This record gives sequence, C-alpha cells and structure tokens, in this order.
Amino acid sequence: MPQLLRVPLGGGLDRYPGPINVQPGAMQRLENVIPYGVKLQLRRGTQSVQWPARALAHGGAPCSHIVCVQAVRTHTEGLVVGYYQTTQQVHVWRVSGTGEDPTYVGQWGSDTAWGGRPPVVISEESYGHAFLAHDEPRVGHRAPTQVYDATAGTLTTLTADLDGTGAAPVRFRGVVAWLSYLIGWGFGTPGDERPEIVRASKPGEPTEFDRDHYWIAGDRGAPVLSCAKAGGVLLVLKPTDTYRVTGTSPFNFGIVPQFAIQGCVGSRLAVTVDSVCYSWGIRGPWRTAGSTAGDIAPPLDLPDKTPTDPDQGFAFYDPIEEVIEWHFGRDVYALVLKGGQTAWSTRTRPFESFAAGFLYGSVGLHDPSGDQPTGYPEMVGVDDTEMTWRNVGADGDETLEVYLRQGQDGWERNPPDVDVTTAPTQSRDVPDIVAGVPYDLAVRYRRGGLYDPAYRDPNPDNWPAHSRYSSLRPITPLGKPAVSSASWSRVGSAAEQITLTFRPVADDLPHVVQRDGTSVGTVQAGQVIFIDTSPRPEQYNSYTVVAHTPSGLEGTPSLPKRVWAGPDPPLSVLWRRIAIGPGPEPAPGGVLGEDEYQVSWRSQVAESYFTEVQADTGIPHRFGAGVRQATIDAEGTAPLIKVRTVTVHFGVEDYSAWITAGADAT
Amino acid sequence: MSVPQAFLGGPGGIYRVATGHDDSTDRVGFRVQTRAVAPAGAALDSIFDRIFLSITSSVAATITVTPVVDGQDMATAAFTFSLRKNTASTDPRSRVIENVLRTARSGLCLALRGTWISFKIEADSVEGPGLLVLDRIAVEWDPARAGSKERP
Repeated sequence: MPQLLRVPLGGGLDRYPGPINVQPGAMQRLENVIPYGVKLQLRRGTQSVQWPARALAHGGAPCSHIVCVQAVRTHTEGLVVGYYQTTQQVHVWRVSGTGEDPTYVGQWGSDTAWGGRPPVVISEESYGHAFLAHDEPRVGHRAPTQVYDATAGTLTTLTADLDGTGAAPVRFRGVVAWLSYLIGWGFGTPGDERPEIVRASKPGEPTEFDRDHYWIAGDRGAPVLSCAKAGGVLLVLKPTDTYRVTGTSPFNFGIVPQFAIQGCVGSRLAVTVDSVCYSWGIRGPWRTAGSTAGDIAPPLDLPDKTPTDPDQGFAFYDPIEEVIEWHFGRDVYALVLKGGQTAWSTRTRPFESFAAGFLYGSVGLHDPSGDQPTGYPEMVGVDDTEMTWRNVGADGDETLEVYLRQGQDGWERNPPDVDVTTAPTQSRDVPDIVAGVPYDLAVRYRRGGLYDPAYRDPNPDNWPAHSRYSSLRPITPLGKPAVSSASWSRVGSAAEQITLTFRPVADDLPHVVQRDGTSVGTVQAGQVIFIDTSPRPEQYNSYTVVAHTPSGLEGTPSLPKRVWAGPDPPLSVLWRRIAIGPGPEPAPGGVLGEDEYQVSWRSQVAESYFTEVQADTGIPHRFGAGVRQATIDAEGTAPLIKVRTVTVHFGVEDYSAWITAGADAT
Repeated sequence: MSVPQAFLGGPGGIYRVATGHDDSTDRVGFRVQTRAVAPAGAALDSIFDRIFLSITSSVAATITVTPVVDGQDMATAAFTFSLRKNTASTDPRSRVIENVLRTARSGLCLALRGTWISFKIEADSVEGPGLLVLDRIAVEWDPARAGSKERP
C-alpha cells in the first residue's frame, strides 16, 4: 500500500542546503518567494516611480545611480540623492511621500569630489533636518557632510570647530540619530584623521558639535563602519568587534567593548528593527538586542550566492512584507520576520540597486501649482535692525521666510517666519544684524511647503532682485546717533569753541562729526564729546554725527543740531506799544514824534553781558547787565524789534543771534 | 503620517518596493527547491509513484516541477502545467496538481527509485496581478524491496 509523505515548505534556507540541511524543514532554494508557516508566497513587485524630466539636471537626463533615499518625516517629504556617471556630479531632490513630485534642491560637492564612482551615502533625519554623509574611507576624498533644512529647503555644509581653530566643514562617514543627539563617526578633526572617533552633537541641536564630546572606539586607526541602535543602547560597529555606548548625556557617557567577534563588514549592513540590530559580520548575519549576540539561524552558506563588495552592500527593512533585505548588487538576501519566525530566502531583481530608504505619507508634498504663492515680497529697506517689505499680490495666508548673509558667511535662514497679511507693508526686527558688518537680506513667500518657481532655488542670490536687500546700499544698519547737547564758549581772546555731547550707536564704533555737511573731526570709540575749536563765529553751525565702521561702512547720520557760535540769546522777548504819537521826550535813540514801545526780555547769561535792542534798522540800544525792560521809539503798529546778548570775555565782544520780539498779548 | 513605504535607489530612478506584481517592466519569476527527504530512511530506497502539489493562485503562470532523486534532476519525470487567470473573479482559487511519476517503456511501467527526493518548482515569469501560494507538496511512495527496481 503506497504511503503519502508531505514535503515541508516554508522553512526558509539554511546554512548547508542540500542533503545535510541542519534545520528540519529547511529549503534548498528559495528565490523570490516569502516563506511563511508551511507555505510559500510569491513576493510582490517593485514599481518604478516616474519623474518628469523637467525636474532633473542635465537637461532632463535620468541619474545613472540613485544613491540615497531619506525620509524627512517632519515635513512629510523625502530626499533623494542622485549621481550622474557621465559628469560625476551628485544632485539632491526633495520628493513627496510617494517618491513623486521631485523638486530640485541643489548640487552636493564638486564634480571631482567623488573619485569617479557613485558615492555611498549614509543619511539620517533629526529635528527637522536631514543629514547626508559620504561614506568614503579616505577622508581626503570624502565630501563634507550636508544638512538639509526641511523648512528652508536648503542644503548646506555641516561645520563645527573641532580643533579650536574655527568652524570648518565636517566630514563624517555616517550619521545616525540616537536619543536627542546626532551621532557622526569616522571624523576626528580637519587635520587629524581618526576613523575610530564617534562624535555626538549637542542635545537637541544636531547641527552643533562640541569638540570634546566624542568617544574612541577601540584601536586607533581601526575604522568605525557603522553605529546602530539596539535595545536602548547605541552600538558602535567595526568589522570584527562591537562597542556599546553607555550613558545618556555628556555627564555620564562612556564606551565599552561589547562583542569581540561580531561586527559589521559594511557600513550599511546593519539595520535596527523593533530594537533589535541585525548586522552582517565576518561570520554572516547576526543580531543583538544590545546585551547578547546570536546568529540569525545558522549563517548562510549558499553555493551560488556569495556576498561580494560589502562596501557597496546595504540592508533595509520592508515593513509591509516584514522582510529585512541585504543587497549585494543584484543579489538580495531576505530575512522574513513574519509571525515571529525568521526564515531566509533570496531575491533577484532585473536591476542593480544602490540604496534604500523609507518615505512616509501618501499625500506628500501635494504640489499642485495652484497652491503655490502667486505674490511676492518686495524689500523696502532696513532702519537700524528693522526690515520692511511690501506685500505684492499677497493673499494673506502666506508665510514669509527671511534669509540673512553677513560678512563672509553664507546665506542662513533667519527665524522666525512671519505670517503675511494683506497689509501693503510689514516690518520685522532682525536682531541678528551685527553693527559694522555688511549684510544682505532676502525674503520669499511660502504657502505650505510650496514656493513660487522663481523662489524655489535654495540660493537667495537667484531670487528676483526686488526681494533682496544689501546693506552696502545707502540705507545702513548702523542706526542713528543723537546729539544730546551743544554749547558755545570763549576760551581766549582769539579762541572760541562749541562742545557737542552725543549718544553713540555703539560704544565700540568711532563717530565722525560733520559741520554743515563737512567733516570736522572723529570721536574715537568710547568717547561721546566733541569740541569744535573753529566754529564759524556769530553764525549758526549745523552739526551731525555719524557712526563709521573700521571697514569704512557709514551709518545713518543723526538729526542736525544747530548751534550759534556765540552767547545764548535772551528769552521771552516781547514788545508792547505804550504810547501813540510823540511822548514827552523821545526814548533813548528814538525820534521825536514816533510811537513809544516797551520791550522786555530775560537774559540767559549770568554776568559780563549787555543786551542790545534794535527797532527796525535803527541803531541798537545797549543796556547793562540786569536790565530786563526798556522803552524805545518805533514807527508803525508792528515794528521789527530785535534783541540780542553781548558778552565780553578776554576783552572780546561776542554777540548772540538776534531774537525778534513778539507782541505782548497781555 | 501613514505607513512607511520602502524605496530602492536604482539606475535612473527610485523604485517602490512591495508594490504591484512586476519588477518595473519585468515579470517576477521564482525558483524553489524543497529539502531532500528519505521516506524509507537514509539506508533504504523508495519507489516514488506520484506527487501532489497544492497551489492557491489568481495569476497566470507556467510552472515546471522537477523531481530530484539522490541529487539528480529527473528530467524525464519533470512536468509543466499552466495556471490561468480566472476572468470571472479576482479571488484566488486553490487546486491540486497531481502527476504520476511512472513512465511506460517497452511494455514496462517504470517508477523513480532512490533514497532522497526533493522537488524543484520554478516559473520564469508570473503574470499578475494576483496571488500565488505554494500550499503543499506531497509524494506517494513505497519502500523498495531488495533487488526490485520497479513496481507493478
């Protein structure tokens, strides 16, 4: 009687496929199927995402290699890095959560930075930024780490002062987010290649690195290839050993050896799934939750698939099929984690893959052109540190982004953004402007994550000129000093002076004093008094003060201060007609038959002075100190009566300005 | 935030993983070989009579099954069958494919004999969309008597 034997399916591959398979139920070959339970299912397909040629560089030519796919979850978008083999250029695009709607971000590095081969890129997202690291063992051939600011849509070079000589580009081999830190490895300082160094950013500030916050993982010169999270700790992986970072802050950070044999033979061959790190070491794949390590079933030993070129290999986890895939060129090793089992299979695809990554969100950028801003901001000017712009065609639901460039620095986003209104003009303070340093400002509208096409370029230099402003134009940021007081005095028989006191723009800036538009002297930084020793005598002298920077930048002049080079004039000068027609006798200097007027004044001078009174063009009448009232003759009902002070010092008479008397209403 | 979607970076663009049924414009094929089993034990031969393959599918494919006895592909015992799409419904349908391994030659009925047997199941391309699941494979066998190379 024949018997029926069921041949097991779904057991996955084993170390020794064939007649001496180790695990019961292990399969000898599994290609493009998913083992699950006791069944096998054909895997799903892989669909190409079509990009419009307009979004691509080089006249719409597709990239020869897509070397990085990185999610930016805070903005429901992603970054894609592409390499052009023909020109050896690397370009970056932002895409929606579906991988579509590419928007060009910019070029990474120069054409010669990649050594003629597609770069291996290790990327990470942290605090609204995406970081791109060039995993090149030779630091001299490694491109600087890039920072993508998802809010600004800009790509900049990560810099830090790691050797005390000033900020310089950072060239990490790889980056990973851990706790509130961004971890970067493989870079010591610009002048000291230290591949065993692992650095941590400041907490919550992934773009800020303290030069003293680093770990040394094992032997000097033995490169760290990867860092991965596992069970709440950070593992530092080398080809043949693994270290564990202890602590949670710079106060208690440390590093200890964890595994002596297990490591990672390629920089992208470790992946963390559900707090378990899966890595490909020298004995094949293994895994750890942080404390102990174990082989993932027995390691693979497939007769026709030997992993080659681990430097180019990479691992990623597909949450839909619950599969970890290790890619080595066209060969793929797939570890199925469905239902708590671990089963190996292999996969082939008709194309070679160079990188993998997640993107989140099906709605993505939602980039219909109708939602992008149609208006634009037009810069009006800057007064001190307050910038003003004109809203042209604004709907009132846009957001204004401000970019600032100072001195030799590059453009930087200057938060906070401003909610645009429908008002014709709006203003905002830019407190980061440094007095004395030339600067540029640029503004653009954003609606959601969208920009007008004219403003999509991350470099504000390429935006319309009316949305930019330069401090090298007439309006300057230095602000206006103010002349607080000015006084004349005679200091010798042939010497007189005017003393100015002013409020400076900044204590560390010199100020130039101008008289009637002509420079008459400079007040050094820290001084607030200027003495003009050659004022124009018995005239009004108009003074202004303006700040100057060492580089020659001129500030805004103060309001003019008019000062008479002579004694102070009398005050409260009034006249009153007291008699019509000839009086009993003419007043002093008067003419018999004219009307008689009483003139009063109040002197500002304490001693050694006279007061002169003049009616029309007649001869001035002089009265001694202490006299505050006089009677004079004048003609008509509204005579021109003037009064001035005469002082005598050093034997010299000085005259104040004439003060025209007003009619006394009383 | 929705379910994350994995993408591959390849030549000329990015590729959405675990989507659809084709790899870009190429259809997906598969190759499977079961582990070898020795029904009568590692020291005794068996006579392999027929196999039963259970499949659940809604795709179209041409599948080849090749017995491998003691490490040798039994090409003469290999057989090919086709799955056709169910045009009336997209629901997958289960079926059992039965194939007799005996062959007739010169008036004799010959069967496969050996100790270890495994099966290769392959398809160069599968035309989706749809599902293909290999549910079960079983072999009907008899213990071989000493000196016997065939079974009536």
